Amino acid sequence: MRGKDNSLAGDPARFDTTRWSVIVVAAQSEMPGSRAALSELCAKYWYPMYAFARRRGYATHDAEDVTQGFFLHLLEHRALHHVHPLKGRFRSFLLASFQNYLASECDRARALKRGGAQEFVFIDAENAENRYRLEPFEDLTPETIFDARWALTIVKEAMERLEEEFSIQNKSSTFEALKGYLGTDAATNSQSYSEAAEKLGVSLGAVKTLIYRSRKRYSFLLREAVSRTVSDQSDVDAEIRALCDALIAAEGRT
Amino acid sequence: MNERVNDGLGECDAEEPEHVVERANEKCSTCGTTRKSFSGGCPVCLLRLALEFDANADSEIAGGAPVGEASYTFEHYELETDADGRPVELGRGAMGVT
Repeated sequence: MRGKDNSLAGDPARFDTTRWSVIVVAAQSEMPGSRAALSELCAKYWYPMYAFARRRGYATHDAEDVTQGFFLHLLEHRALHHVHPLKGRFRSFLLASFQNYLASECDRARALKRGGAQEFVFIDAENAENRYRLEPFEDLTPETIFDARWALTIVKEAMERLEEEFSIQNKSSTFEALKGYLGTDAATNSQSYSEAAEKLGVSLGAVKTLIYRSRKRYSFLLREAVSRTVSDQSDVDAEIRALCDALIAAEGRT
Repeated sequence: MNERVNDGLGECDAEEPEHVVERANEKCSTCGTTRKSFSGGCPVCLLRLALEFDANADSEIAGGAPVGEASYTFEHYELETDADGRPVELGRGAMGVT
């Protein structure tokens, strides 16, 4: 597995760019490359925060402003005064810090002064609103929406990385044929396996193997994505279960 | 600016990967969750999938052959696989697993 918490102990000019806790501390210390790393990390998870702000009653542009403002606030070394960054989950840290930020930035003019006129993370406001309009609203708290969108962000990130790996091997068509089988029970799809085999021109056994290996690889990529958001590797399973619960709570079960 | 398309639920970027495009209120036949999904499958099942493989399996696959090239065939022999695509284990001993 990648990433070690002691990466700051070595060369001060280098830091682990895969662990959220290390990136935040590095950014606060203004280490070379840390701002870009933090920007990249925040860019992945801005939408759950935007959705949270919208659910809290912020209008479209205000939600965009406070999200941008928070990222700048994070860089200005004020976000971690009351939080130990080397412990806990990035999801929990970001939500708690964002809530504190919103509470302290209730004066919108002040928020605009700090972040509204600057752009730290690119936010496609039009796309964000289109996505937000599809959110389920019945009895959902802002926190539930935040966690569910976070979970979906992780799931999508791993899927995009798997697609990229297939693409690098010039096997995009294989990915297209197999992706529908990744998140479903094999028994449910046993009959359609033959369709995939026929589509790819391989035997039924070969397509089962391909699906198994793709599921395994996807699993690895998802675990890797989650591992970057927790401080302790032993928390990966618990975080995945928490993300499952968040999705079920938001989307419902019949 | 990407071209905008409407998939019936709202606009999205035309160049956005298909599996990222969300669809509304599908019900997963495996876990029964009603959710907005994307064509990569049920997000809940995908998360649970990641719980099936432990850290040892991760390190094995990370250094393994590129995904997409797998085939349990050796000349005219082919390994039997179960419904999940895993090789069927006939037995194991000091020399390995058959």
